[in-house]
Amino acid sequence: MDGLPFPEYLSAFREDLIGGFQRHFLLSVYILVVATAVGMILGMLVYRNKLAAAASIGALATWFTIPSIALFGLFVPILGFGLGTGIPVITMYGLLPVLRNTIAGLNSVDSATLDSARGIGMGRFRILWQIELPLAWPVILAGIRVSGQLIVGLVAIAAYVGVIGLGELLFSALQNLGSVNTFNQAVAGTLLVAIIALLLDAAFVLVRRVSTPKGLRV
Amino acid sequence: MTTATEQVALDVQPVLARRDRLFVWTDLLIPLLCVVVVVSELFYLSQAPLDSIERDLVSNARIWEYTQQHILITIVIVVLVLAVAVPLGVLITRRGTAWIAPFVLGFGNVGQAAPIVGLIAIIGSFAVGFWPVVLIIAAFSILPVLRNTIVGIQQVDVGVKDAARGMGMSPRGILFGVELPLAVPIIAAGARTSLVLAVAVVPLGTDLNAGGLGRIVFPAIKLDRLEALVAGAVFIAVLALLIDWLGGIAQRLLTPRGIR
Amino acid sequence: MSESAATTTEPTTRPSGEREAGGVPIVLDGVTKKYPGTDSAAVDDIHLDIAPGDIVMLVGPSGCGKTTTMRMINRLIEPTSGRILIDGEDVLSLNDVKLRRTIGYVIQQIGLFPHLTIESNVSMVPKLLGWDKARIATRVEEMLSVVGLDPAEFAHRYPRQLSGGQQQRVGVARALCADPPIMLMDEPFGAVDPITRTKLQDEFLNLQQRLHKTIVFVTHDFDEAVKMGDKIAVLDKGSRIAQYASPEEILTSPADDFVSGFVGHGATLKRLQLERLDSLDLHPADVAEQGVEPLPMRSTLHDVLDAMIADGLDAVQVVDDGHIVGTVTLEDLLGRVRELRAEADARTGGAASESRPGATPGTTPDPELEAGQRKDDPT
Repeated sequence: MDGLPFPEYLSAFREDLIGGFQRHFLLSVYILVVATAVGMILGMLVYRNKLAAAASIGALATWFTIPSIALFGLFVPILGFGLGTGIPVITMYGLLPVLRNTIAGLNSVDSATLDSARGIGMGRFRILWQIELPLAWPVILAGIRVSGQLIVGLVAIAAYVGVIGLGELLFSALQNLGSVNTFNQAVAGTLLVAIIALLLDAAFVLVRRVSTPKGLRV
Repeated sequence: MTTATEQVALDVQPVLARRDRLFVWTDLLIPLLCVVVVVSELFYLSQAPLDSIERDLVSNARIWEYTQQHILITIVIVVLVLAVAVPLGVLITRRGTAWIAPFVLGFGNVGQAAPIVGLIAIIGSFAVGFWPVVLIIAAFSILPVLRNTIVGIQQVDVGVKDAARGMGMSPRGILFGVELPLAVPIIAAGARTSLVLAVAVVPLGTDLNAGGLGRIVFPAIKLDRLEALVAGAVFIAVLALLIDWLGGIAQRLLTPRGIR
Repeated sequence: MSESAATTTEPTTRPSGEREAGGVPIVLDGVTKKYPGTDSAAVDDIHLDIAPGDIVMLVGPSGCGKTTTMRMINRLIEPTSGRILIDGEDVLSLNDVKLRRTIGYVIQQIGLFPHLTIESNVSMVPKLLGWDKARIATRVEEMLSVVGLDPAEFAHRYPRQLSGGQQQRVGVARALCADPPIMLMDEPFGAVDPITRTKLQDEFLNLQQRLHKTIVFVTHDFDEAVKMGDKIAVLDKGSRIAQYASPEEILTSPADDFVSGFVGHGATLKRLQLERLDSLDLHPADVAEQGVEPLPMRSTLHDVLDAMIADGLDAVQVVDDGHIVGTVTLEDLLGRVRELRAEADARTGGAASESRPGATPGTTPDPELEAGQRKDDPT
């Protein structure tokens, strides 16, 4: 196989690689923000109603079981190739960890704490905002973190329905097995996706440290 | 000696069995949904205006053949994963080697498909066929199941393990009689996730010629035949749901009655 | 044992005098346990002689090493040095797993196997020992009845279907099933509510009267120790034995400040729990007030005093078997206390009076008591 040596490949295709990296990163973050927002809002709406909570988690879990490949393929005729399909589908996937953790986290607040809050006259909304959310935050954040990792990976897979990002490299490598650049593309693609995942994870460690209320910091 | 009928227990009323019945009617929802979807899709395909390429792509013969391959690959992967991950998990939780556990557990989520694609591409340059696909996917699936095995064994109540040791059960007796039975639900959950992951990743290995329903999906994209794409996607989705459902049933059956 | 909501649970005392031993002796000879990297030993050179058929309570503050000591007997923890002899045999020379099958083991968290039926739980050790099926089946039924659980109802249930008290009874049944000569119990009744705990304690004492096993019982509750123990070992850090004696002796003559700190206040009142009316001579029946509830002969002196104080009496009638048999007065009780004190002093050479919390001069109304006190006071 006569491809470029890896370092030379990197410098030769630097602009493309950086471009792909940026697009992939931004897209992942964008989708994560949307998934977090929708997931948390939905979670806050249903967490107190067992049936609604179970139903929404159940529905999303069923969705989750379906392989992304299949789901992308199913929506292409309706939403078209590219981001039209990519964004909604990936967002739906990203919802589950956030929703599940939001519900679990909000429900895990000690009933004694809630009782004293009500006892001193705090209203429903205030309790949610000032008591439940801060106490549930570590759990919710953990869910967002899982979601982030998931989304980064899915953006790569979505390349096969035309979502432009680092996934292109990987699928190109896959479809041109044994060609000169297969190895380079595969390694570059995998490495860069891993870097994005690690960056996101590191960002989370930071966010967790900064945003966890002092009293809860373990 | 007073009998139960004469007793008025000061103790709190005992909690009744959580789940007396093994199966509930809601269990049938998913398989029913799947059957309906498959039948509808097949019917639709038979009626839809497809050109010859597409029709060939989604012929019943092909669908059946690819589905069988897909299932076979999936099963082999999971069997391999369990055969490696569970014994390994047991080993890591033994007294002498327990220090390894935190490292394994801290490894984070390697469960993304992206690295798998890369690896498939690289290995696929050298070797194609059934076993390369199986081994690559299995390799990636070991960590989650290993993690579940470790967590499952570690969460067995300390008091129960102490009582078992204190009454004179041998280490082997404790492992097979107490730890593993009580860890089964969590290990089974891991195996179930592994199954679904396998179903999802097998199509990515299509270019390695191991077979599977990816052979409908990827050519459909290349040839821009959307009906076939949807068909392939539908079948993959249904397969995943059914295998997950079977996994759930198996999980329930394998869980010891006392802790269901 | 029974599960009935009996009206009053009669506190049982151990009969004075000799007992048949169904258990075997245990000897801890210079046993030490030191964990690597720590400064002091968890158990430091303990010597303890446990007579067959005795319930020996290991009492002490958290961290004193009492549980560690107990767990060395069945080698769940291996001693760093020293010997532990069960019926003369050094446990270190035996196979540890097999050893444990001959020792009953009951712990606070109970530890029933959640995935097995009650029957499977209870029959575990006999199965390990290879008993035949029929024998196991009968024995399980017997054990469940003995702890007050109807086999027909409970044998096929699962632990999570039982309440805490019921689970603990199963735990005891499981430990007794193979009829081991010795039992190790680590705060076995700690996980249930106080009412259930009292019942379990009483029923266990009744059981022990029949079985006479050698029992090592760890607790941090001194009152439980007084109630349950034939002997109490009060342990300090490193499992150092501050005092190893009968409950009576510890209550009346604590060996040092540590032990009296443990005994706490009300030692004398506690001491009265160990005596019953039958140890007193009663006055003729007519010396009591009418219209007052007579007390049964089996009452402890503590209960008698309590009843007198509650109603402001200084005399109460006593019934036995339905007949009024006599009267007991407050003076009788105080007299008995004096006798006990004298006995204790005779044993310990006067130390008992000194360790009593100082009586304020001028408040003791009884000249006899004062004289007695002065006599014993070594000036």
